[in-house]
Amino acid sequence: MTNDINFDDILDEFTMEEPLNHAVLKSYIDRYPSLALELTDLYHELAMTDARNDVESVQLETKHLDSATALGRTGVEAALAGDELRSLARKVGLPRDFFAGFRDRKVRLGSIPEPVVTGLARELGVAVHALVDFLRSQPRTNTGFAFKADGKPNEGVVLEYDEFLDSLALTDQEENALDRFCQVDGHS
Amino acid sequence: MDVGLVNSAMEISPLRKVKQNGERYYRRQPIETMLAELAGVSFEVLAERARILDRRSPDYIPSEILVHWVRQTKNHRSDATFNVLYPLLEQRIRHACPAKEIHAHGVDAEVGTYADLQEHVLERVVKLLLRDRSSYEEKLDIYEVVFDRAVAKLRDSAFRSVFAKDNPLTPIEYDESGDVTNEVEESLGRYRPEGMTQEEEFTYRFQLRAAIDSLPEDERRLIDMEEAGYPDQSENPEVETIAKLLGRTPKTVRAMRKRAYQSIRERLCIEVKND
Repeated sequence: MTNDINFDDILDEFTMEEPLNHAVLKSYIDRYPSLALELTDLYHELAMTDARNDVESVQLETKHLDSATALGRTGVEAALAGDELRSLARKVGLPRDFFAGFRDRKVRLGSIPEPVVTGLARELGVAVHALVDFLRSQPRTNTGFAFKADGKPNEGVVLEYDEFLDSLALTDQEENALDRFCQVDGHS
Repeated sequence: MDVGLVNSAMEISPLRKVKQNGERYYRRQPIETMLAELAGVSFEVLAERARILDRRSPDYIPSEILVHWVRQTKNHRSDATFNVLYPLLEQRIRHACPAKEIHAHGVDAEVGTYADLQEHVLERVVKLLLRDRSSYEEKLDIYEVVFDRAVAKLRDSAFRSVFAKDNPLTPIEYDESGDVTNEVEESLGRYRPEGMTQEEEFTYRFQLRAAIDSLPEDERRLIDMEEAGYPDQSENPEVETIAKLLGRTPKTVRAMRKRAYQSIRERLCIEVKND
């Protein structure tokens, strides 16, 4: 821990205050007057949330959720289809099988490093949560995924990400392209 | 089905994020208690209960627990439990950050929707979850403490950084010509009906907060600052005042207050006696 004041941490701590009332709001504003507007706005949001939760009589909104989810998956599928996949592979400098592996859900989602997922979402122009939803879903059809390596796994086998990379036998140039691909938000 | 989730819940590790004062974040006691109680329940039952969104149900599982479980799946060799729990968590996030229309100045002039904010919030949480799978992501800890509030905070900061910037509201001009000394002394407490049941109290508080929500930004801030005890102005330059905090003149603050309380009264259908 450092002595630097992290404004986001202060707002987080304010968010966790129990009870949260106007006296607490005042104590924070008195301590951090430069955050007065942020704290006041946040207070309102949190008060609104607490009030809503208190009265809530919730109905399942599965229809809305399902349609939103389906829309996300369709967007990912379209971005990984045919010419789109080929042009993406060319642009990034990675083999088509790299992207086809994700398209065909041949890689276990839990084993894929976060920079790869966010990099893929960025290149596909889709939301990360939409990509995660796609990757954890079952492929609709057999799209003929092919491995370069000799040890071709059986159809339906899901690989760990490291195994998947090994199976692609990337060249040095492709390895470098993969490193660049994973440079997201200033970290890899 | 992998039951490792249930077994691992028996060893509930403490959160790691530390506050400014050096105190560690901690889950609320009901959450800790429920995590321990659910340790012996089958995953199928847990998943079924996690689908319940009605907080009034005795089987309802708070979202804080769902976040904890999803985080635990990173230790699994299979994605089976993650695949069941993740969409339920996504559903909770969407529910806590509902799409909503925004109206400018109380008029039905739509300037945007919260739909983008919902996507933004979801995106942010999912990124944290992904990072947490490779190395412990302390920024997720707050979601095991106060899930709904954490989502609200994210929505608020997103609105501030993205949405509001794209959609600046037209400043409101206030009539400052009134004689402020003749104003009725207003306060939210003045509007509160007597003898309410707890359910009525909840409803009233929600309606009041919704009324405040409908106000223009600075009027909304003024109401909460005033309730917090800040004066409009002060002879003492050391004292924080609403005028200083909002960067307005005291006269404008008074004009804003008059307008804000009038809006709240109209919204709540309240008649105030000018006694």
